[in-house]
Amino acid sequence: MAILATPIINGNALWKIIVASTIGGVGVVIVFGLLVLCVTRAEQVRASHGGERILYLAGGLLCGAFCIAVIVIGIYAMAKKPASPKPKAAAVLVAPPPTRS
Amino acid sequence: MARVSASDVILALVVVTGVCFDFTNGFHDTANAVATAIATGALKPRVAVAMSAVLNLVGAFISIKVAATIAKGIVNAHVLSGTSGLSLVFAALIGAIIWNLTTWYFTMPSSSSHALIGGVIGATIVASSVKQVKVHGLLSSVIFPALFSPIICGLVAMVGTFSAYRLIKRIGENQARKGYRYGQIGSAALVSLAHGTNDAQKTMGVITLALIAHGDISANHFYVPFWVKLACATAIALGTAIGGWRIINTMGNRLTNIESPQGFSAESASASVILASSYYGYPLSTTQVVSGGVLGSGLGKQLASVHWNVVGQMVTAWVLTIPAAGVMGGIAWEISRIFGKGSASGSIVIGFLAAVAAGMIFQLAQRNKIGAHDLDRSGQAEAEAESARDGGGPPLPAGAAA
Repeated sequence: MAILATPIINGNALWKIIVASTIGGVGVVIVFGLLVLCVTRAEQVRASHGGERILYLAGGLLCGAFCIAVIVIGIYAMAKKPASPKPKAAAVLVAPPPTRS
Repeated sequence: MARVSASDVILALVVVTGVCFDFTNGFHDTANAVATAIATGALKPRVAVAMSAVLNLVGAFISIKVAATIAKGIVNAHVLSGTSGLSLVFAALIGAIIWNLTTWYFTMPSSSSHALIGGVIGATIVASSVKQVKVHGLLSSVIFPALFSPIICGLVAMVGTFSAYRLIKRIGENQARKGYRYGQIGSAALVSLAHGTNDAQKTMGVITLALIAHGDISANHFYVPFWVKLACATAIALGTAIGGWRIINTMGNRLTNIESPQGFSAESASASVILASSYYGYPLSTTQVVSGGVLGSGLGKQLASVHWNVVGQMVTAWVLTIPAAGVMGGIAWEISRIFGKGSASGSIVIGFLAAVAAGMIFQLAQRNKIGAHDLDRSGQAEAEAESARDGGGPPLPAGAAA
């Protein structure tokens, strides 16, 4: 869909947003659920099965690392978001200094 | 002693009103970050807003890549130039503040950024003509993101919630609730931080450009003065700390019945959409994104638990935001023009009238006041956690089996 020369919808950016949001939004929920599952199971088998417990704890560790990585990426995205272009001398709200009488 | 010109007075009014707008933005949008965490009892209301306020303050300083202009590409540049441009921005800020307070009174979450854009458009149309509004810019930067962002966030939150409840069958109900409650603290923190980086900077941009228009800063050496950053960051943090309990109640309790897995899904989806859109250069409203996420989390668990009448009211508020703020901005400009174009007296009068209107709205809101104690669910959460430790506890409602 386009009006005049430039398209209203930037399909490429929109597609990237959908993919990133799905990975971030759905992925984190699932991985965090797996983290809770691993921790819960590790607590349940604490006394009886030492090897199984280590396996669950390792799984939990991996899931935790994934969640922390997503948070770090999120903060990086905040800090490195593209800057808006600086206003030119004759751009919006820019005027010669008013005369002070 | 130097004489004070009309533009000095209008600049001072723009700065003060800009900071006031940031304050209303803060308490209007507190709900975005903490409503679901409060609704599920993951955080006590006061603790939640305090955490959100601090992170909004930090967020305002994380990125200093300020949006250069609030209305860039939406109205023709020359309309906003000179002293009359300052008056126009002032009228736009007044329109946005009054609309923010009106929607707050009616307990409806709505976009503060759209209110500001609406104010600029309305004042521009009245001051000049409708031809000065760039339809293409309005569609691509405002209308289209407003349409797609809540839908994307809603779908992501819906799939996330559905997946979460599938996992809950394996985890165990109470352990899952407890675990996702901890997760909610992190996701609410991330949304707060994202809100600070986005919304505080809009006002920083407005004030800085007013300073350029006034000749205090060179346009060729664009920078945001530290005092502007500090004032805006503090205003949005204070606004958040006040706690917009009315809108928190709507977002957390009236749209759908939220449990911790849903709250976590909604917040994670919202944070992902806000950050991805911000990174890829799509401006959007955090309010609309989070509302879409909350709705999606309701649909992901159980279709019937969404209160569609409240959703209808909220969408009506969204649709009305730009035109209504535009009308208010236009009226503010008209009143100021009675005293002469670009006159300080006109701006002082509309500033005074806006303060009276704001006072009246606050007074009216006292009649059906909603406070932190009305929303506290932490006792319920503690009881469930106690029950989880004992290995029992109440089962999740029927929707958990979705």
